[in-house]
Amino acid sequence: MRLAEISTWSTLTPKVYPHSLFDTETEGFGDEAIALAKRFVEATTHYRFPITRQTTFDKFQSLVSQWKEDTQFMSSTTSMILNRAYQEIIGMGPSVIPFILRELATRPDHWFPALKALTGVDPVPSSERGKLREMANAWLEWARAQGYNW
Amino acid sequence: MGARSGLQLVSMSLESAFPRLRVTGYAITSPATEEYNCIAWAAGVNDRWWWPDPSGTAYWPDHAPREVTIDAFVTAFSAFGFEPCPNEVLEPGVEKIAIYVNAQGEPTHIARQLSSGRWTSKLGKSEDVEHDFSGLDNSPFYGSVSRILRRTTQTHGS
Repeated sequence: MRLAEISTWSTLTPKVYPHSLFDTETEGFGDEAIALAKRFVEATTHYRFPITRQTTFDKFQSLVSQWKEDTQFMSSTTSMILNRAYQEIIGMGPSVIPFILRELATRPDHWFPALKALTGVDPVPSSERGKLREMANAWLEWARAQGYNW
Repeated sequence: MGARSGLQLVSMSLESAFPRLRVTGYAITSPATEEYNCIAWAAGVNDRWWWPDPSGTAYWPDHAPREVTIDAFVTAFSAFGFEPCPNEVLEPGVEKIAIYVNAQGEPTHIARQLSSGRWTSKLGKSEDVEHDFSGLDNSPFYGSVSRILRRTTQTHGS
């Protein structure tokens, strides 16, 4: 990335922002310059996409990014579930189920307690506990049978 | 993105979370993955997430209580031949693991000693790193080492 290109970051949407930053060339930048650029992107993103104009999907994506950042070094699934962003996602209600299913289908993560809380069921056989891909497949299979689209 | 730049960003993130790594030295030894965690990795497993969550989402050995206590972790690993050990010093033919706890005394992380004397850790959903014993100690994420366990060296599949 060139410094002159930073201004173009303001066109990024919140849902792509954290990942696009990590997909960007930063060779030759010092730690401080990268930290400053990150702050700039955050500020312009908040300016251009205020929370009052967020759709349900935007809000979901923003909370997912926050949750992933907060929990990246955690082993404790208990702490992951108690995370504020995760709880907010559950609090958004059944409308986020297709979004979670899409997450499971594209980049499996620990969404099972949220789905369990939102649907009241748990289609994962006990023999598959802890096996992320198998658990994701069990949920996606169940969701298909229920008529969910994602 | 250049591979070197990507690695630099990962390193920045790791060193920011675990400042002692920069001082004591470390190497990233795997890509990030959500498929296993440090507890599984300490047991030599790399396809399953281990944790004694009360909801039963993650895997936890049947013989151990599903509670986030040091006793539950010691019990879980005792079935794999681990027993309490007084120190982290490298001993030929012996494998050691270190259980970290937070300020409330709840387990947060496990590191496994390698035959070189260095330690290997899976950092949550992030990368595996090889590090010194003190590299992750006293970090805001994992707290400090509370218990060392040992067993006769096993061959790991990974």
